[in-house]
Formats: sequence, structure tokens, C-alpha cells
Amino acid sequence: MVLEMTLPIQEEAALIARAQEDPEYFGPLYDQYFPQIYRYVASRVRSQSLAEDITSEVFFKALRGIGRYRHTGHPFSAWLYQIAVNAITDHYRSRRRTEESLEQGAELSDPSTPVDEDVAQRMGAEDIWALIEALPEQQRVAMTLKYGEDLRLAEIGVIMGKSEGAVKLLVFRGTATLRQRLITERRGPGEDPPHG
Amino acid sequence: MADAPRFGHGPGPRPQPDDDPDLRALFGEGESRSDPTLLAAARRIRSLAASHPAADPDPAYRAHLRASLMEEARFRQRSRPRHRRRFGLVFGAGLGIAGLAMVAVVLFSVVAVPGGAASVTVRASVQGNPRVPVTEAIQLSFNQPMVESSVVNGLTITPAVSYHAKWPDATTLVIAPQHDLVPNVSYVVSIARHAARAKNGAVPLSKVVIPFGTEPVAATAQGYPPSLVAINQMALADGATGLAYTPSGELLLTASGSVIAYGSTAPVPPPASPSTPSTAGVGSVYSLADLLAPLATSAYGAVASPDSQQLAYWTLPPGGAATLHVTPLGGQGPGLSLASTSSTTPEVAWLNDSSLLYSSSGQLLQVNLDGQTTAVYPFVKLGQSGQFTVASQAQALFGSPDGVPTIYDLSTGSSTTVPGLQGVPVWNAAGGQLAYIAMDGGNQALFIAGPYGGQPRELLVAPQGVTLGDLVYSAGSDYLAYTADTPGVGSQIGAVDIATGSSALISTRVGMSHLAWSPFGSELAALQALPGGASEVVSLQLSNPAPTAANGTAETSALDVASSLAQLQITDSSTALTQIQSLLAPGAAIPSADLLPGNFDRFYAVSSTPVEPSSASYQVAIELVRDATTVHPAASLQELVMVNAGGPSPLITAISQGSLTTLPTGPLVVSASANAAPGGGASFTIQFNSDLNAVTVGPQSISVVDSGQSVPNLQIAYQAATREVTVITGPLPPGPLVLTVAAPLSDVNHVQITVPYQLSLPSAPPATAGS
Repeated sequence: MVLEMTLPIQEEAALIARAQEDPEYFGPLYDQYFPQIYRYVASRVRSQSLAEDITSEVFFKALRGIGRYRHTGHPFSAWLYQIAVNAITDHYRSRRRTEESLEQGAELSDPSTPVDEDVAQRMGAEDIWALIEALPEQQRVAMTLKYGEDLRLAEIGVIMGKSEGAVKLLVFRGTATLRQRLITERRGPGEDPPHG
Repeated sequence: MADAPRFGHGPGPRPQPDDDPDLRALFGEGESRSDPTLLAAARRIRSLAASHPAADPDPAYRAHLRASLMEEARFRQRSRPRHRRRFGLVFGAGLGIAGLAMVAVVLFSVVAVPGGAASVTVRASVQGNPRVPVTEAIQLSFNQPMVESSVVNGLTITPAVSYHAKWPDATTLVIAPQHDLVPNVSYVVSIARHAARAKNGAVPLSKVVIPFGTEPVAATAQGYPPSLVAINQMALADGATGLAYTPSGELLLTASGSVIAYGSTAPVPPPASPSTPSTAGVGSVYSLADLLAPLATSAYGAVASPDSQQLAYWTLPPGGAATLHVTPLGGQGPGLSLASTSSTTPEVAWLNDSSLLYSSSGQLLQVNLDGQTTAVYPFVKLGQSGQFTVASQAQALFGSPDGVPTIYDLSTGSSTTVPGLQGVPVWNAAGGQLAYIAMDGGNQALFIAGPYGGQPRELLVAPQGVTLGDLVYSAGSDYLAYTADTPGVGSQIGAVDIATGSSALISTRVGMSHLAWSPFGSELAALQALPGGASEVVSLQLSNPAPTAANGTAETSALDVASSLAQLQITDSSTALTQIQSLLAPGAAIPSADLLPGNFDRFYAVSSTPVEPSSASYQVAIELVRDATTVHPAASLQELVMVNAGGPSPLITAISQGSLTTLPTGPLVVSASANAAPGGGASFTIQFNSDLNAVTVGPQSISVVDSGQSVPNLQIAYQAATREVTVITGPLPPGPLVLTVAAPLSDVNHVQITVPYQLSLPSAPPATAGS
């Protein structure tokens, strides 16, 4: 069940309009959306101080940009997520990632091999999130919003500026890669994959 | 609300993982990619991810962020458009990094917040100390118990510093920087007025501003790379031939072609005299503050009057006599044609605000603004070139009769030759010293000497083959800047400390010429030749030499009253205007709009100088500074306050103000160096003056270009403890290398860098033994 945390649309629209007129009315919007934006950022950067830095950046950007915000039929939180996604992307761009090898890893996955539930059981949330962190950028964003934020694929598409179909592909490939990584974890790094 | 979209979830436990229709649709039956094992994996991943321990935000952080946002929101609301005047008289740009003495001057005035029983006042442990140890914590003592969270939320340190705030008691705040402060830097601790709130609701009468300086460390070693300063690119000009500050700080550019102000979209067309053959040094004179219309056209040898109200220049019609013109700098009033000469390179200098000296047929003549011309100083021989320079108080003059460099004492008529002097010397501000270039053996050397003979002092000797030029004194005559043209490298800017003789290049940029040191001391302007013939007008933001501290009683009084004025100008009080009027001399005709010029947060008393030698009238230069908000950038307004300190109490007789000038904000590069990296690459180390927002340090803000090609795969790392960013490249082909640091790089105050920094190298640094 997804909790109803989005403001009633008329109430949200009124708050935004007032904040655009007088920035001091940004406070209620901040109060409303801080928890989920912070939690999303924290789930991505895994460092409290960095999460605080990025969350601050998100809300300062939102405050500074609220005059330019236009309601496009999507909730205000989608806009905040967009800012957060971009801020996190900026952060990770400064850390070189070996995406190509991971992309290749996804291609090598063997869909016929069942996931070892025991292994998955033994793995903690930290391990799963570490694997998600290792995914290519776009997959990582889509997977985090899907599995971490319980957003609908269409909503993720709004945030990422992609079609729902493109998001489906990202989540599919990310899930397949994770499953492959789980299998690798189960076998151990030095073991050969099964033949046939 | 059934149709309301749902985005995310809020605080508290995460929702129980039940079936997700998206996953079922993506991996389940009926989909082309249907795969039960994947669906199981997806559900398992979802379940595990949901069990991720919630990262609880620090409640203090959440409250702090909210308060910070609200503070900024209030600034935004208060700063909604308000009318700001433009002035005909425009002052020099930029505060730069405030000199420590400037801080010392401002302290007494900032602390002297007009008090009342209900007002909050604060004292700081660093108050009045321009040499605070870099390891020291800052203690603020309030006069009454404070709302602690409000104070901390409204507190800002610039340059940005990460810190811990502790309250030993409700009236004492200790700010402990997380890392050592930067040596030899002026800091400002500020607390927004309404954030500095006492528990009884009282606030200060103005924003709390506590400037202080950190102790310097030993100067960095000279050589390659040199000490660096931030550079502000101001305009692009074709045929630029001259650059000079007026005494009030307005930067004037002479150029024969188009001039483009950075930030504008259209070039300024050259003035309409296309058939006139181009003569060296002839062009249109522009104010950098307003490049749309030239102050004068076809001008040669332009020079501003001591009061910065008039501009004198020559016109050199082909085959005709040169004509001396004077035109108002503010653009009002008719121009005057005062004299003519057959010289092809005539000189002109202001004797005072209403008379000029010029040369004609080897003689020195004086012309007043009423057109009356008289021959003066008949003992002065100028030679056919007519070239001369005169000291500021007209006590001495340099000429070159028959090619012999000669200094004339204009009061006695005596003269002294200066063997070996090359070019034209420059006088310091007081006229008691001149600097010049002469040969020492086979090398050029820089000398200073008194105007009446005596042994010259050699300040520096250039290396073999290096050509010196473009001498210019700093505002306080403590430093001399020069250009050093090294074969194979180009012309770079250096500066020498006159007291110690220590010198250093202060920019790696080449092609520099036409130096001009701002009268406020914080900027050194120059032309930089670009490929293709155009020049860029650049301004180096200096950690400027300190002006001489005021020590005379009258001068101190003048400074006091000018500072009181500035303090009232930044004070949000209904009685400020009345208090200001009590500082004015009877009959002083000062527009009321100039008395309270607008929304400023702090001020610096920059300098005070007597209007005339031994005069009791002083001109005090004040910088009113407005901090950056989301709506407007940091800016300053130059204010000249004339004070008559001769009476029983000093009184203000006149105020003139310049235009609002944007100041650089955010992180500033204080030094940069380049070394060879293993494998044929380069390693850059960039030191900043402020703690950086680590999120913004990366390829989005730092780039390296080699031979015009962007260098990929930079390794960029930020060391918070030292405020250093290291950038390592892979192997580089030979060719010029340019490192650029630009926005969105931000400090921990979330202020982006506003002056992009560039380090240009002719090629990758060569590997040294052992590297």
C-alpha cells in the first residue's frame, strides 16, 4: 500500500501559487516533501552528510526556481524528484564509474537460472542497495525510484523525462542485472558459471 | 482526491511490500518478457529494498535547512525590484579581497551599532584583529540570551567555512571551523538582522557583521608557477591602445575599433570617422561602466582631471595641428578646444582641476579652462618630442631634451639628468618618487629614485633577454606592477614590493600590457592581446596592499565621521536620516537620495586623503557592500565623502556616489599549480579560499583543454581539510593546456563561483627527475 502523502491537488496548487508570489510560503511545501526527498537522496548517496548537502541543494534550487515552476499535470513532488535526480547525477558524475562492464554483465545474465532465494534471504538491504548503486546511471535512477520509492513506472518516466516504455526497459535490465549479481554472490567470485 | 497522483511516501515505516502491478505487468504473465523467475527476483528485491533502514534525518538539520530556506525566502521577498539610480560618475569596479587594513578601519564602526535597551549587540573574540590564527575558534558574546537556533540559522561566514556551532550558554556562541582557516584572508561573519533574535524578541539595529583577517604565512616561493590571482574578464576591444583609471576609480579604455562588453549582445560600432587613417594611440575613449557611447572620439593621450569631472585629450588631424580638447566625463556640458600644437605626439597633464600643462615646440605651456594660455617654467626644455610627465603636486617634471632624460625641480628650476633611463618614468601618488627602467649590465632593471637626484635604488633585475615595461604604482605607492616580456613566453604581469624588493609574477596570462592600478587598490586592470589582434580588458582581483593607517587626529576624525555616516546608511532605523543630517555641514547641498542610498549590509572605509597638502579637508573613500541573495548578486557602491575636519567637530560637506558594481562571490581560487603526472599527463592542484560543496566538484565544473580539445577522463578529487582540488589527466599530446574552473562549482554556502578561473600553460609541465 502506498501512503497518501501528496497534498490534495487544489491545496498543493494554492500553496505553489502563494510561494511563487511570496517565497516565504515555500515553508509548507518544504514541510510536506522534505521527508521523502531526503530519504530518497539518502538512499542514493549512503552518507548522511552528503545526503544533507544534496537535499539542501534540492530545496534551495526549488525555492529559487519556484517562480519558473509550471504545473504540467504532475504533482509538485515529481519536480522535486527531478531536481534530486539531477543533483545526485551531478554528484556521481564526479565519481568515475565503470558502466560499460556492468552493461556487459547485464547482457551475460542467464534468465534460465533461478534466483537462489536462500542467498537473497542472506543478503541484507545494504547488499541489495550496494548492487543497485553499481548499476549504470539510468538504470540506477529507475531502480531506486521503483524499488526505493515505490513509484509507478509512468511517474518515473515523468521524473526522468522518459517514456514509460523506456523506464520499463531500464527496470527490466536493472532487475535482470541484479538477479545475475545475486547468482554470482551465491557462487562466489572464483567459481565458474554452470554449463548448459 | 481519488484522482490525485501519488508520488512517493512520507516518513515513518515503509509500506508493506504487497504486489506491485508494475512488476506483475513487467515480468508477469501476458508480457512479452514474461519470466516468473525475474518476477520473483523483482519481488524479492523490492522486499529487501523496502527493509532498508530508514535514513532518519537529523531533526536539527531539518530545522536548520528550513530556517535557511525561510531566511533566503525573506531576502527574496524584501529584495523584490526596487528602483536604483544610475550616476553619471562611475567608480571603479569591485571590492576584490578586502585588505586587512581595510578590515581594521571598519571594525570600530561596525561594532558601534547604535544601541538601545532592547537592541541586540554582539562582540566577537576576533574583533579588531587582522591577524587571527588560522586554528582559532570564533566566540560571539551577545548582550542578552538569544534564540540559539535562529542565530545559527542566520549565520554566514564568507569566504565559506564549514563549522560547528556550540552554545556554552545562551549569550555565547562558539563557532569552531572544521578545518583551519585560510591564511591572509579577510573573513566576514554575518548574521541576518532578524535571525539575531534575543529570547525577548529584540534584534540588532542592523545586520550583524564581524570582519576579521587571518594571519599571513610566509610568501610562497617565486618562480613557476607564480602566485595567482583571480581574473575578471570585462570587455573585448579591437585596436585597444590605452587603459587608465580616473582618480575616482572609473576605468577608461581607448580603442580604435569595436568594443564588446562581456554580458552584452551587440558590439559597439566604431565611431564614425572611417576615412581617418589610424594613428598609433588614437581611438575612442570609453568608460568600462558604459561602453555604449564613447566619451571622446579620435582621441590621443586622454587623461582625467584630478576631480574626475573632465577628460582632456588631443585630436591629431592628418596634416594639421594637434588640438587639445576638454570634455565633461559625465557627458553633460559642451566640450572645449583649448590649444593646438604641431607636435605629432603631444602630451597633456592636469595641473589642477582647472588648468593643464601641455607641450608645444619644446616648451611647456599652461592653459586654463577659460582658454588663457601662458608659457610657464621657461627653464624646462622638452625636446622635439615634447614628451613629459609631471608629478602629482607639480613639484617636479620629467622631460628628455636632446634625448637626455632629465628631472626638473619646478620650484627651484634645478635639473638632474638620469643616465640610462629608458622610456618614460612614472611618478608615485605623492610625487616624491619616480620609477623607471634602465640597463644594469646587459639586463633591464627597475629603479626608483627621488626627484631631486641622489642614488637610485635598484628594485629588481630582469633575467637576460626579458623586457620590462608598463610600470604602474599601487594606490598607496607600496608596490610597483610591471610587465615582463620573456622571449618564447610573452608578456606577463609582475609586482614588486618597494619596501622589501621582493617580486613575483601575479598571473600566468601572457600578452599583457597597459597596466592600470585602481585608486582603491583592489584591482589591477590590463589589456591582454588575443590572437587576431583584439585585446581583452581584464581586471586582476588583488589581495591588495593595505592603505596606510590613519594616525593624524584630523584624519582620524574625518574617518570617524565618514564611518558614522556609512553605519547609519546601512542601519534600518527611522531616525537614521535625522542622525545623518546632524553630520552634515550647514549649507551642504546633498540630495536626500544620496544620504540613504539603498539596501546595503556593510561597509568598508577604504582610504582617507587630504584634499590638499596640510589641508583639514579630507576625502574618505567608503565601499558600501550588499551581500548576495537569490535575487541579486553581491554588489558594492563606491562613495566619496568630503569631510571638513578643521572646525570644532568634523562635518560632511559633500557626498558623491558611483554606480552599483557587481562583486565576485562564491569560491575563489587562491593558488594553482601544475606538475607532471606519471605517464605523460598533468596534475593540477587548485587551492580555494572557501570550503566547497563537494557535490559541485567534478567535470561539470572543472575542465582541461589541450590544444583546443577537451581532455576526457579527468581524475578529480577534493580534499576538504585543505580546500584543495586535484585534477589529474591521462597522457597529453604537446600543445597549450588550459584548466578552467567555473560554475556550478559552489561553496558550502551554496554560492556559485562567479569569476571563472583559468590557468593557461604553454604545454604540459615537463617531468622532472624522479617524477
